[in-house]
Amino acid sequence: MQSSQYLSQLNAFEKMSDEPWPEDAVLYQPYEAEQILLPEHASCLAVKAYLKMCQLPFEVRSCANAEYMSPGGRMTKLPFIRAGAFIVAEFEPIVNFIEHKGSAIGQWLDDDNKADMRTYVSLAENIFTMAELYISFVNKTVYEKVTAPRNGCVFPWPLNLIQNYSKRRNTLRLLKVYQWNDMTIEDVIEKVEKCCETLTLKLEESPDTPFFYSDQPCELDAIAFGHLFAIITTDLPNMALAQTVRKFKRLVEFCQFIDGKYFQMSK
Amino acid sequence: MHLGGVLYVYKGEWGLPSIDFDCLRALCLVKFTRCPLQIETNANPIRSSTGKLPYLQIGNKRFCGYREIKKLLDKEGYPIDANLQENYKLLSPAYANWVFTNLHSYYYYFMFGEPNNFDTTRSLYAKRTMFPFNFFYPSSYQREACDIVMVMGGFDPRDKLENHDGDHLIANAKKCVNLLSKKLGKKVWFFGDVFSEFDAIVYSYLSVLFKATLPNNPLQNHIKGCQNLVNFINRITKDIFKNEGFNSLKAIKSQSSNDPLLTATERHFLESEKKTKILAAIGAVVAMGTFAAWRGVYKQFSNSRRYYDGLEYEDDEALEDDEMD
Amino acid sequence: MPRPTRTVKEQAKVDLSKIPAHVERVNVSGLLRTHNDYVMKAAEGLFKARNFQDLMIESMNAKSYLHELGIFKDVQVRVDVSKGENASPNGYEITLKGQELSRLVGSVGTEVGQNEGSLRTELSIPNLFGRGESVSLQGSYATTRANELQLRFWKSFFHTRFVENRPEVSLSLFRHVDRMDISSFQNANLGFLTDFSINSLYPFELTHSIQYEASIRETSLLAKQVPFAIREHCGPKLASLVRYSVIYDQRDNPVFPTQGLMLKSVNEYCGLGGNVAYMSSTTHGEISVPLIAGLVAQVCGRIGVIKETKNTTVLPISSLFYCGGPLTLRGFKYGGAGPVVDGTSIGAQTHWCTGLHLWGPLPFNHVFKGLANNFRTHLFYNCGGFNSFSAENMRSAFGVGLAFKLAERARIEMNYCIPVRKYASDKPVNGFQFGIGYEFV
Repeated sequence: MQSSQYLSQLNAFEKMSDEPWPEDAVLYQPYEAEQILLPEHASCLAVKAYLKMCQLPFEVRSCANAEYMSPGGRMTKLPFIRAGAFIVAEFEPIVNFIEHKGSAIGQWLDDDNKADMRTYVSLAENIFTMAELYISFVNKTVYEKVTAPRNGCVFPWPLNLIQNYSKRRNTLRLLKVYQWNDMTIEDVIEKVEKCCETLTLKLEESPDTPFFYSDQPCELDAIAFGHLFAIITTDLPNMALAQTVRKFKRLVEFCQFIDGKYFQMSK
Repeated sequence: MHLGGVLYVYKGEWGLPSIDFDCLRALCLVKFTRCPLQIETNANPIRSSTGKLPYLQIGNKRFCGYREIKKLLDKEGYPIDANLQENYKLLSPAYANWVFTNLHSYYYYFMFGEPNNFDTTRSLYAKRTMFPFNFFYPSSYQREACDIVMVMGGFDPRDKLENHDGDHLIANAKKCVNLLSKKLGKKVWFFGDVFSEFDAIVYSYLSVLFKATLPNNPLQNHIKGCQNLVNFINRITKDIFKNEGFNSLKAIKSQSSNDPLLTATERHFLESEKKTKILAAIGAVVAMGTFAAWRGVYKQFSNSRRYYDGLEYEDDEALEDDEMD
Repeated sequence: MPRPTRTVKEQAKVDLSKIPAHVERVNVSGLLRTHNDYVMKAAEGLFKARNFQDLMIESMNAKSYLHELGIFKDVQVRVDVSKGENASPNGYEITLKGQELSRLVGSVGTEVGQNEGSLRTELSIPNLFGRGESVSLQGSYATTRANELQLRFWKSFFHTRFVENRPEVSLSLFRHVDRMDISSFQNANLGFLTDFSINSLYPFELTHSIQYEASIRETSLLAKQVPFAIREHCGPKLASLVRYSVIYDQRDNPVFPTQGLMLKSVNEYCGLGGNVAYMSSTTHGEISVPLIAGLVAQVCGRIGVIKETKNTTVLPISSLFYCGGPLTLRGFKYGGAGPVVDGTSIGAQTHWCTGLHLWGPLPFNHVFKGLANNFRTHLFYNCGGFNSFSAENMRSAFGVGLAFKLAERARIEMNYCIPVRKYASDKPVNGFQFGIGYEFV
């Protein structure tokens, strides 16, 4: 029921929305310091990076029940933005929404390149999100030491136990749907490695420019930055993912560049 | 590995080597790489640890599910992406992932989630499963479809039909097919002259969605519109799966009729016609017999019995007379 | 063979109070699972009887007492002259013959809630340990709003010396789903409830009930486009609250009273742990005065307030008061006279409404005979408001209608309403409105 809102909204803003981007757009996310989990943090970071690249003004608001307020999505359901009457969740729908508003970046790409870029975006989003979910919920130490306490911290006992249980169950179901449930950590690392290799290759296609496609940012830059930066900067009891990503020097440099250009400036 | 390797899959339909996406994927791996494996369609999913086909058996070892089979083939020297250029080797899984994102929920919703379609699919899977399990296995696919559609499509297929929000699944799938058609262009394979895992996956999704006779399948006509994809599907079906001599239906075909031009559905029809004839014959015999018995044969029979009784009685009398004598 | 028993009928013509009588023996038969001490109290009054009239009255009391214990399906009373060696001439022997309820009792029925009908099924094990302990599992499915599933254990203490106070303890696990279609959200409530209720007799009879409830309340949305003010409330929360309710009821009839006063107050304090905190209080009053020729004047009123406490971050949307509706402010849709956010009605923090009624019997009363007793006609004027107790923000409506009594508890009303004061954001009903419930304003 909840998720179908997001679809109808997709249809709704496919039909209309000539209005410009509202000044009072708000991005909702869980509390960054205490609550947010790695996959959610990564996808929030990606959306923020994208909005900054588009130079669209937005305000970040943290609330404990952000996930429940979200109209729904395929993976983390977070973050969601509220722009005027529209509420849109997750990276891809938000990008589509901004494109309909006409203020998106990456419009200069021709159709072929764009389709190509979308493929990379979908790859990066799937692989990294699943790997992050895997490490957060399937790895026992990470789950017990980090995921469960953080996820439950906004709920009083005994509600936190129930919430942890149901969140874990939903996540395992999601991993099953994406066929990641029966993987070992080695399989996951291998997948992430492959994905990083693909991205490095893409990045090296234009070695003189800092971005994936020539000298302007696009969606791929945002999503790759969001996930990679979140992975390498988050401390977990199991740093396998971060170590894997750190092997790709080119990607780490890219992350530092984007961080410096879009995030340090504003601080 | 080379001796006694058997791949167990669901039997095909509509001229395809299998009716199941995962089985088709695995079959493509084997046949594309010309891995010498025996293919067996008479299988029981309970032997697979995943509870589903396909599984590959070598000696006592079983490799269940697509991923394990692929791993094994990679290890044993039949990697599907081996001949690709270096950068395509990375692109192939990337594209595969993108097709998965766009087509997987559509495939599962219209194969198992849509209640009208599921009646058809259920009987397909039930026919290919052994007796007590055929009541259970088709619904396990339905449960899986529910999860997939709930996560990727955002609605619950168990809900009322009017709450099913399939429009965006269709829209996504159509967009995806358009892009695939564009990507394929006039090439033989998606990456030029060399096959890849991506080809296997596209073939597996699209061939079933294109050939399946489902009551509700909006993508079918859309695929028909993309001639190069239709050629792609037909070419693989004909060249790779027929010339290799593999088609589970051939066996039945040679029994039922020797006409090689018949399609699967026609064959199916013939088969069912034969069944009907036998049933009709039995029905007719029973009906005629009943009628005859009711109208006179029985009567005559009972008359003769009375007559016989009488005779016997007389005999007895005669016997008694004899004794008395 | 026993001697012929004297029944009430045979003795009817004689002045029974002049016939001396005393009870020598009381037998309670038919006790299979029930412990003897549980029914002991039934005999107490009987032994006090000094004449035959007392004896009859007391035995009727004993019968109804046994019924109230809730262990018998049916109770028969037999009064017999005392027999045996020590029998005195005026001695009587009373036999209360009961038929115990079966181990498992199931029932299906319909129930009337506030402006909704519901289908209800119940499975109960009465008299579990032989002293009136019962367990029941009940589920109800309502047409419009609530679905409920409840597992309840209760025990009454009627057999102790506090019989007059009717103490009862219950413990239940429940799950109910409350759909608020007008605000496009639903609230799923899962938790447990303990309840202790007792009557106090001095200075006047009051029914008290003290409850503690701990529950998980999960709010989720029902529609696609929902105002953000409602969306903000989504998600699970843990509520832990005490509720105290007190009822004073001196009416002569709960549905169509001709005279008497009823006051009911429900007070909640939420915030003993958990992350929902608020304080709320609702008071409902009703007073009826008989006039000439079967006419009855009635004044009803209701006030509800919900307030933040120190720990409150946000008031739960599901506990707010909806203003308007056929049971409170007639002439408006349910929730149609309250605050509105982006075109969607939501509840208010305070609300009040009053109603003035003039009840009359059905015209041509004598034609319909007994049936007419179930019908009343009324003229009404009701007004109400929210978030302020002044007349400024007031909505009002008047009208005429027909009411029907349903099973001594509920009432069905069919009214023709004319809203008098309304505002642009309201959803008035100008015309016929149908209401069903048990507590009207």
